[in-house]
Amino acid sequence: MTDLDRIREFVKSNLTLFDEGVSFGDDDNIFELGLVDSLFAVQLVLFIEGEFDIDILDSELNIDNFSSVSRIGEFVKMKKS
Amino acid sequence: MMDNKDSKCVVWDLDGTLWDGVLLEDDTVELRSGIKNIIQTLEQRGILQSIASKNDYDAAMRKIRDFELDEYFLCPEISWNAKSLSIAKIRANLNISMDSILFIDDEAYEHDEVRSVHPKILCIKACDYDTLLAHPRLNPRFITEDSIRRRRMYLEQQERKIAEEEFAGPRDEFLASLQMRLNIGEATENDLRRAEELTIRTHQLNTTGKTYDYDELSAFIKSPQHKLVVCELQDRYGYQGKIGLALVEIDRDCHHLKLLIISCRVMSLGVGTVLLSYVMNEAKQRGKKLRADFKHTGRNRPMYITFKMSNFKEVVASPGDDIVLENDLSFIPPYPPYLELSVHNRSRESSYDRLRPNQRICQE
Repeated sequence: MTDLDRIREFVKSNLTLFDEGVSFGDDDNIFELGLVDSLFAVQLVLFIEGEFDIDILDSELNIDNFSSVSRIGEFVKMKKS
Repeated sequence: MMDNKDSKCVVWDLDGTLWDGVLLEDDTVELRSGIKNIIQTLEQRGILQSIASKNDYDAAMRKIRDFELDEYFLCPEISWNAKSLSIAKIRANLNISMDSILFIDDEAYEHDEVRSVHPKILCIKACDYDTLLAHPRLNPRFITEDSIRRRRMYLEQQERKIAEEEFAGPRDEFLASLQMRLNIGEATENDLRRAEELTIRTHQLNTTGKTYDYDELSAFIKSPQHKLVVCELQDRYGYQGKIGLALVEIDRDCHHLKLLIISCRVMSLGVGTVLLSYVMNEAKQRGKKLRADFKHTGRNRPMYITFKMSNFKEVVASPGDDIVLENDLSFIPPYPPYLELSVHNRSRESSYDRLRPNQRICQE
C-alpha cells in the first residue's frame, strides 16, 4: 500500500459523505463532499501523525493542506522528506 | 488549580474497602458501616463510581447485587489484572482524564502499583473512607440537573456504543438512527449552573480553558454586548443534557467568540462543530467579521484542530499563549444531515440588532 492508498482508505472509511454513492476522487475537496466535524478533523490529524510518524505544527494545520486526498499526500511527502 | 480539580469518578476496591473481609474466603462479608450512604450521596452529587477489584467477577457482582448497589457502578473491572490496567480501562470507557479519578483501596501496594503507572491519580486509603464525603474534590460547587443524571447518561452512552458496534451499515446511517435533536438557544438564568460546570469540567473541546463563575455568566446574559448560547442534545436513548456553550461578544463590526465548549461526551456523535457553524452563520447573516480567542492549555489541541479545519486563521499571535483567530466566513461547514436542529432565540432582536444605550434586555 502506498502512502496515498493509506490516506484514501482512511478518508473513505471515516468521512461522512453528504450524498450516498458519490464517486470520490483523489482531487475532490473533502470539505465539500463530506462532513469535516471535530471528530473527523481530529481523527485525521492523529491518523496522519501516527501512521507516518510526523508531527504537524500549528502553522501547518490549514484546510489547504488537508482539502483532498492528494493534497494530504503531498503534505505527508513534504513532511517526510 | 489542576491539583484541586473536582474528581469525576470514584473507583472502589471491594475486599477490605467496600466490605470487611475477603469475599472468596467468606461469603458472608458485610458492608462497612455507612458505605451505602456514601455511595448514594456521591451519586446525587453527580460523581460517577466504578470498581477495580481483584476478585471472581461472578461472585463479586452477585454480592454487589445482594447489597443492591449494582446500579451505581459503571464499567466495573473485576478480574485478576493489575489495577493500573483496570483503571486504564475504566478511564477509557468513561472518556475522562486520569487526574479526575479518585481510587480507594485498603492495600498500600495497590496504591503504589496504580501510581507507578498513573502518577496523576488521587489514591485514598480505605481506612479513611468515612472522610470521603467531606473531601474537597468530591464537593462540586453546584449540583445541576445534568450532574444528577450523569450516571444515567453514561449508561445510555453505553447502549449507544453497543448499538453502534452491532450496526452493520455506514456510520452516517448509524448516526441517523440515533434520531438526534439538537436545540440551540440563548442561555437563561436556569442554564448558568450547568454553564459554569461546563467551563470547569470540559478540557479537550474548550477554546481557552478559562472558567467563568455563575455571577460572571449571569452578567453576560444581561449584557447587550454579549450573547451566551447553550445547546442541548436529545436522542432516542435519552436526554444527553446541555453539551455545548458559546460566549460571543458583539462589537459594531465584529462578533468575537470568547469561549466555545463542547462536552467530550458527544464528540463521537459528530455534533462537535454544529455550534461553531451556528456562530459562524450568525456572524455572516449580520455582515459581521468573526474572530475567536484561543489559548493552548496542553489539553485542548482537538479544539485548535477544529478551528483550523473550519478555516479559522491566526491573526494575532502574542508572545504568550493567547491567540486570536479570524474566519472570513467564505466556507461554513454545513449542519450534519443526520440530526434535527432547532434554534430558539428569545431576544434575538434586542441582543443583536438594537444596541441602544441604556437598553436592558428583558429576561424571563
